[in-house]
Formats: sequence, C-alpha cells, structure tokens
Amino acid sequence: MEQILREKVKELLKQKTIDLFIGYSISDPDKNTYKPFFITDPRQVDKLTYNSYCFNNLALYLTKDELKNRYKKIGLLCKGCDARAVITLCQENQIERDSVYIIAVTCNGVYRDNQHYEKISKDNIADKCPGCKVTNPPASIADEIIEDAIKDDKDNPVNMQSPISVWWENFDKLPNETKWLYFKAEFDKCIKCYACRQVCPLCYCTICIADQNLPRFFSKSSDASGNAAWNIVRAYHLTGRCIGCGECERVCPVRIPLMKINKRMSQAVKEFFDYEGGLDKEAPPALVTFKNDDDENLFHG
Amino acid sequence: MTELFKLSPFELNAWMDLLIAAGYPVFAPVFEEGTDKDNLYFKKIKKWNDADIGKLKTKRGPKELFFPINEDLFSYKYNGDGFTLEDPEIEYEPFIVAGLRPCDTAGLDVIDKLFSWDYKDEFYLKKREKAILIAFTCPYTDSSCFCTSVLGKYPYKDGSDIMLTQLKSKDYIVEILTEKGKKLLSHLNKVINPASKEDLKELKKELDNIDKSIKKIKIDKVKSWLENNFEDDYWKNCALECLSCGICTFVCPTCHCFDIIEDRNLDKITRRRTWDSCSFTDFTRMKVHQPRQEHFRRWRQRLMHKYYYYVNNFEVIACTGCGRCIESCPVGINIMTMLSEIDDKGKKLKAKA
Amino acid sequence: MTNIYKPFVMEIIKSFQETPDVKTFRLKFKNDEIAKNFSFKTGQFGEYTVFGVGETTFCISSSAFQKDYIECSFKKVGEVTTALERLDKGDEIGFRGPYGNWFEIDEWAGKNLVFVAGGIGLAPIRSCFLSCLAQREKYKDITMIYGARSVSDLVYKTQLNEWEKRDDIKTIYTVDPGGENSSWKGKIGFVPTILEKADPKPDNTVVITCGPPIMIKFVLKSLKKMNFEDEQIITTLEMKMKCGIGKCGRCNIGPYYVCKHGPVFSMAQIKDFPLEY
Ligand SMILES: Cc1cc2nc3c(=O)[nH]c(=O)nc-3n(C[C@H](O)[C@H](O)[C@H](O)COP(=O)(O)OP(=O)(O)OC[C@H]3O[C@@H](n4cnc5c(N)ncnc54)[C@H](O)[C@@H]3O)c2cc1C
Ligand code: SF4
Ligand code: SF4
Ligand code: SF4
Ligand code: SF4
Ligand code: SF4
Ligand code: FES
Repeated sequence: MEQILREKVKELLKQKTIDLFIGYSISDPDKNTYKPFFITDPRQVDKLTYNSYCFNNLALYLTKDELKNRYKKIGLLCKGCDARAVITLCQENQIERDSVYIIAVTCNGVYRDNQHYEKISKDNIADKCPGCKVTNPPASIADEIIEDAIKDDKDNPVNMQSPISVWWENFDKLPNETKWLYFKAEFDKCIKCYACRQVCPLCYCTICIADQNLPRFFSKSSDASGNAAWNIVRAYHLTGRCIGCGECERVCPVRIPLMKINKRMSQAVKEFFDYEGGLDKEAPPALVTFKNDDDENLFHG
Repeated sequence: MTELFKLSPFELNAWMDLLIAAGYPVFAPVFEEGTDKDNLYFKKIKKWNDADIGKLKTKRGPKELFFPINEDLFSYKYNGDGFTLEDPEIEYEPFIVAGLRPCDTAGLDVIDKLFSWDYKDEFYLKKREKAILIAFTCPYTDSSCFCTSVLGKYPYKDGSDIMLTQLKSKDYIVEILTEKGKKLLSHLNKVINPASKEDLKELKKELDNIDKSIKKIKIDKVKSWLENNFEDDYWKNCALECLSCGICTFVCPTCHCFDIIEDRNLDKITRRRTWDSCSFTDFTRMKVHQPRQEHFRRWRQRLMHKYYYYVNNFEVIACTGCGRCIESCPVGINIMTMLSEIDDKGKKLKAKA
Repeated sequence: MTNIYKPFVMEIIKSFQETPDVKTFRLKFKNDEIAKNFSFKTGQFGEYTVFGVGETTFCISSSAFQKDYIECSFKKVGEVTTALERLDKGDEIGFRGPYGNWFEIDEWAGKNLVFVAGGIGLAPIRSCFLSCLAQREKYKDITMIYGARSVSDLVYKTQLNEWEKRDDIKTIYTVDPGGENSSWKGKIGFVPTILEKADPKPDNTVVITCGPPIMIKFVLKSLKKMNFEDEQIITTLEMKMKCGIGKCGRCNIGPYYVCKHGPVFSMAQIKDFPLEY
C-alpha cells in the first residue's frame, strides 16, 4: 500500500492538484520511530512511508496559518481518527473542505510504542484503538481511500472493547473523593509544557485561554492548583469535540492519562446528547447547539 | 587532583547507604510510579537499592534540583499600613546527587555561567555550592547521544566531584576529582584499594568503548554559519513540523529561561519563577508587538541561542549533546540532523570564500 | 541572602494624569537608608511591582540629578499597567533597579544635542534631557523635537511649557495632522518631517531618539539624508522583559540581552543586530 500511496502523491504533486503533501517518513531507524513528513517535490515520494508506527495526527497542521498562507492546497494522509479531526475542523469552520485533499487509509490500529512487533495484537495495540468506529474512515471526508483489508472478526484487536471504558467501569465505582485524588495526583506531575495543547488538532485558538492575562484565568506556574485548573479547563474545551486520536496522552512528557479524561467526557456527551465528534461534517457540534429541551445534566452531573 | 580507587558493587552500595545514614540527602535516578512508570527522574532515595543505575537516562536531567520547575522568590503581605516582603525559608544543606551522566554535569556547568554573571542568583548558586556530584560513565548510549561532538573526548569530567566507571568485572573504578568528593570517601569506614595498573588499563578500554558507541557529527562550522545567516531561507523551511510545544526546552539540561509570576493565596501572595520556553508563542509577545510570531523564528532562536549567542556571552555551547530533545520531540525533530546540515552549509561557504 | 528578585517598597508621593492613558508617578523609598544610597544613571530602567498583580518594566523618567525621588511614566496597555493605573498618591509599589546601561551624557560634553521623541518615548528622553539641562554649561546647542498623535497625547504638558520659555534651548513640538485643536500653537506634521525642516547639522552633534518603531524608522531615514553617521545616533530598544538582570532569557536580540547590554544602543550597534525586535 506504501507503493500505491507514493504513486498517488507523485501524481497529485506533479499535476499541481496539491502543493504540499503531509505524510510520514522514518525518523530514527535505530529506535523505530516515524515522524510527520512534508513533501513538495514529487521526486521525494520514495521517502513516504506508512505503517502502524505512524502515530501523529497530521490534521493539526491544517490550521497553522504559516502553512495555510504558504500553500494553497494541502494533501493529507489520514487514518480514521485523523479524518475525524478534519471533519471537526470543517464543522467548526476552521478549514475549507476544498483547500485540502484527503487520502484516507483504512486502519487496523496503531502500536502502543516503538518496540519491534510482528503484527497488531491485543497486547501491543494502543489503548485508544479498540472500539474505534472509524477504522474505515468516513467516505464523506475522503478524496481517496486506500484500502487495507480490515478483519471484521472478534480477533481483530480494533474490535475489542475499549480498555479505557473498562477502566472507567471499575473506576466509577470508587467514591468521588478517591477518584479526585487519583486525578489530582496525576495533574500534580504536569509541567505545563503545553505539548498536549500544541499537538491537538482541535486546540487551534490563536491565543489559548492559558496564555491570556486580561483577565488571567489561572496561574502559569505548574503547581497543584494551576495544573488541575489547566487540565480541567482543557478537558472542558474539548468536551464533545475530542475525536480520540490520543495524541495529547502520547506526547505528554510525564504521561498524564489525558485520554481517560477525554474519553469520559466524550462518553458523557454521547449519553446526554447522543452526539459524537467528528463523524459527520454536516452535523452541528453538540456544545454550541442550543436545544430547548436540554436538561443540562452534563454540567450538573 | 585525581585519585583512583576500586570498589565492588557491594562496597558501593554500602558506601552510599552510609552517606544516607550520615544525613546527606541523596538524589538518584528513580523510576516514576503509576502512569509514568518508564521514565527516570532524580529523586531523593532512602537507600541505594532504590536507585536505578541501569540506564541513567533521566527524562529531565538534574537541572530541576537546582532550578526547580517552580521556585518561590519571595512572598508578601499587607499588614494594615503597608506591604512587608519576606524571603522564602530555605536552608541550604549539603546534598548528594548520584547517578549523573557526564553530559548532565556538563549541563549544570553551562547554566552556572548565566546564573553567576554580574547579578548572582543565590537561589541557584547556593544549591550548586552545597551539591556534591557523583557521575557514572554511561552504561547505556543510543542513537540520540552525541555528547562527544560537543564536549570533546569522552568522558566530560569537569563538572563532577566523583566519577565512577563500571568495569567488565562489575567492579567500579572511583575517580576522586575534587576536595568535595574526597570528603565523601572518609565515610567509607574501611580501607579501600587504590586502582592497580591492570584496572587502569581496563578503565581506559571501557571508556574507549563508550566513546566509540557514541555518534559523531561535525559541528565546527556551525557557529560561523549561524553568525552570518540569520536571514537565510534555510530557517523558513526547517522544522516545519515543529508544534512549538516546549518539550525540547523543558527536558534540556541547559535551558534556563523562566517567567516571573504572582501566585495568590488567601493570606499571602508569592512571587515565583516558573520554567518558560522560547518555543512558546507568548514568550516574546507584547501587547502591540510580537517579534517572533512565525514558528521558524522561535526555532531559529533556539538553535542560535544554543550554538551562537550563548557561546558569545559565555564561551560555552548551551547544548551538551545529551539527546533528550530528540527523544522527547513529538514530531521527531532531530537537532543532530540540523547541526549536520548547518555544518555542511558552513563548509560549502568556506569552500566558496 | 541577597535576593536579586526582591523589590524595595516605594510610596507614590505624587501622581500626574498625563493623557487619558498615560500616568506619571513620583516615587520615594519607604526606607530612608535605601533612599540615601540609591542612585542611577540616566537611561536606566527599573522593574516595578504592583502588589498582587505582577511586575513590569519602565525607564526612570526623572533626572539622574534629582536625589529626592524618582519618576516613572507609563502607558496603560496590559495586565500590570492596567492595575498600576488604578493606584494613586499614598499607595505602595515595589521597585527593583536601576538596571541596564545608560546614556553617556558626560562623553557628549562640548557637543550639540538633538533630542527627537514621539509619544510615550519622551519618558526616557526626558530623563536624559533633564540630566543634560542640569549641567547645561557642558553642552553647546540643545534642541528638543517632540511629537504625539494629538494634542491630548502629549505627555509632560506643564514641563513642555516651561522648556518652551527657556532661551538656552530650542523646542519644537508637533502633532500629527488631524491631531491639532483650536488652541494648538505648535507645528502640525509627523516628527520626521518636522525634523527635516529643523535641519540640524551633523557636525559635532549627537541625536538621541526614542519613540514608536515606525517613527524611529523614518527618523533614521531623515537623519541619513542629513548626513548623520550611525555612531552619532543613540536610541533605546524595547523587548519583552521579566527579570531585567540577564537571567530569564527573554530579552535576547541576537547575542545581546537588552536588559544588560542595553537598553541604550547606538545605531551603529543596532545595524548589526538580527532583525528581531
Ligand atoms: C527598557 C524598557 C523601558 C520601558 N520603559 C517604558 C516607559 O517608560 N513607559 C512605558 O509606558 N512603557 C515602557 N516600556 C514598555 C513596558 O514595559 C510595557 O508596556 C509593559 O511592560 C506592559 O506591561 P503590562 O503588564 O501592562 O502588559 P502585558 O502585555 O499584560 O504584559 C505582561 C508582562 O509582559 C512583560 N511585557 C509586556 N510588554 C512588554 C514590553 N513592551 N517591554 C517589556 N516587557 C513587557 C512585562 O513583564 C509585563 O508585566 C519599557 C520597556 C522596556 C523594555
Ligand atoms: S483510533 Fe486507532 S484504529 Fe481508529 S483510526 Fe485511529 S489509529 Fe486507527
Ligand atoms: S503535555 Fe502533559 S505535562 Fe505538558 S502541559 Fe499537557 S498535561 Fe501538562
Ligand atoms: S519538542 Fe519538537 S515539536 Fe516541540 S517545540 Fe521542540 S522541536 Fe518543536
Ligand atoms: S539541545 Fe537537546 S541535545 Fe542539546 S543539551 Fe538540550 S536536550 Fe540535550
Ligand atoms: S532561549 Fe530557548 S533555547 Fe535558549 S535557554 Fe531559553 S528556552 Fe532554551
Ligand atoms: S529581561 Fe530577563 S534576561 Fe533580560
């Protein structure tokens, strides 16, 4: 499938359908890591790769002014979750659908880390993947879909139950106090590097609330109160919008389990509003839609 | 001064535990618990066995022991007819950091210069003065290490008080490098063996092996190119993938930028400093003006600061080649690759001239 | 321990509303010992604390020969300046300083001085100007060219009038076209234009200029036209600051720390700076 991808991108660049393609290339062969790869010259397509170690959500680059101003049409390689991000960006009017060219790939999940694995299994799949609804990316968003056969059987780890949901089922049984202490201890570790925000395709605000000082919402120092405030505010801002790509948790240098929070918030939105972010680009986003019969349970708990 | 001794792992263990028993706070690499369980951090240990000296690649290096992520500078209160200001209560006591790598101590040597030029930053310097540093030569190196290209022949010794190297036999050669280091020896309540000729041969072999395992890049033309090519197009196309997160600077053992902020509590207000990063968009943002709006300007600042500006002011490169930024970058940006590219450009420039 | 980040408490002994958004405070150290030992050189700046809010950077705008108090003038723009603006006579603030380098006014002895200021840029210029006036006999001709967007944006109005009345200095005040009012007797036009009309001669002259970047840019062009050399032109640079003492790393412009190597630079130095300010 790598070969098909390279051919396609070569064509697109040659015919000037796009002026930039963002895909993946190998980063450090010794460590088996892959990184985002920007390509403008069709002769470079041989460096393009794609496999289950290509973790980055490339949709985040679509809202970067520096790229938008420089390239008229950007081509993008999207796994299902990346495609969901593109859909959300369209819904929220951050990008014009016509300014991007989406090559979507069907997905069997990604690995949890960079060790050498033979194939995806329940022991090495990333936590975000099991239960994924977009292993076949929504056709509505793709200009092109590259198929990689998806096994529909129970053995395919993407069809397992989400380990994060399982975790919550048990965790939710604990008293509120205990739950809070668990997350507080996690937030305490935060060093306010803001990598979680920078890597998130949906944290596109030009001046994040965390950087504002008139008024100032919470302290910039990374002490206990400031941290919890930051992590909670970010979670709220992503409620119903987070598309579950898991990038924030992956990049967090102190490994705060951010996906546990995001996933829980998304679940709540689904329960209360029957809405999930990034599945339908025509659907109005849940939390900006006002319904008269809304009982506002989400915020009252 | 250099004095060389030999210790068995067992003796090392006993020595460290004796130091702890003697009241020294000892900080060493320890695996974090919970979700962050595969990252090493410098933490205070209760016994030497708690330290993990298998890899020594701590996530953030030792700088936070001297320049904490958050540090109180003073606090103040309103007492009815005016403000009273109070220094934070800190007692500076001798403490030991064990399990540093040579590049870790090199990082501290870099920051020392900034914190002691004209205005003396006592918050940092007092801790430095009290610290006794026990470095270990690297039991593990990988593809992101390039310290010898920056620091010269392995190992960099200047920053350590004591340096240990484990030989094939598992025994350690202990090099006492300073008076401070020598004092610690007195806590070892038995006669220890000076290293033999044979041991020294083994030591040399071991160090050569480590040196060989470390990637070498050329950087001698980097500075001259940086000095003359601030406006080069290279910058506009470099690191396009960069997210302007601050990870590379937060994990870096030489980055020292901070913000000064106010933290309000019920009864008193504290002025603190907190780590900051030139990668952040608001680092230089003023209300009417932002000189580093585009991300390439921030990346350029980072590289320029490390390999040119800092060198001009302090005669030392603000990078030790530890590779932490490479390891932690979420989008795989590699400073080594960029330095090599720049060095090549520097060479071509020279060739043309 | 000596805590280089801890300010001294000062009291606002007088406050002047210069324009709708610019205020000047006259400040005195609460502690007499500190007051007695304090001195600064013109051009240096300080870090001012609004207790409960934070710290911010202004130059000291009073004369270096004024030993009883210091003054600072500031424009309300953001978090700290907004809070500062709410303070008044009798309130306390914190002060650290003086920091940075200064105008070498003694080296200018025997020369003509031309001051060119725009808007709030008059604050550092005023300190320098007043310090030179305090030793008026050392210099030959002294000219002050000052402009603001409109009449209401002119700062230090009382002092401008006093200066105008003196016959040992030349003063030219101007407002941007459209900024005048019916009682305005000064010039109308942008500072660089007025400067060219005044036509100072470059021989044995130092120009000290400060103002918004756009004004500086055109003032420099005009000076070039009039054959001034870069070495003769002195200005101050502004860059975001926090510590003021070469530690926090924020005010880097190329290999220079504005808080330490600056804020006063000659055009000859700035010419070699990377364009990032
Ligand atoms: C050497 C020097 C002298 C100055 N002298 C004067 C003066 O005499 N009068 C005057 O009105 N202004 C002066 N300024 C500019 C003044 O410092 C800023 O306007 C002021 O800091 C804005 O603070 P704020 O909190 O209201 O703004 P915010 O934008 O809310 O900034 C928050 C913080 O960022 C920093 N900061 C923001 N903008 C600047 C800036 N332009 N320069 C330095 N730090 C900044 C400060 O620490 C400030 O507290 C000077 C700046 C420098 C560097
Ligand atoms: S969540 Fe996992 S399985 Fe689903 S599209 Fe993303 S990477 Fe693929
Ligand atoms: S990435 Fe992690 S450490 Fe960094 S700001 Fe986000 S939660 Fe905090
Ligand atoms: S860690 Fe990587 S992405 Fe983040 S600021 Fe540094 S170079 Fe950019
Ligand atoms: S710049 Fe990177 S390699 Fe250099 S010292 Fe910092 S973290 Fe280590
Ligand atoms: S300017 Fe940037 S690279 Fe230099 S020390 Fe500060 S954060 Fe690090
Ligand atoms: S203001 Fe902190 S280094 Fe200059």
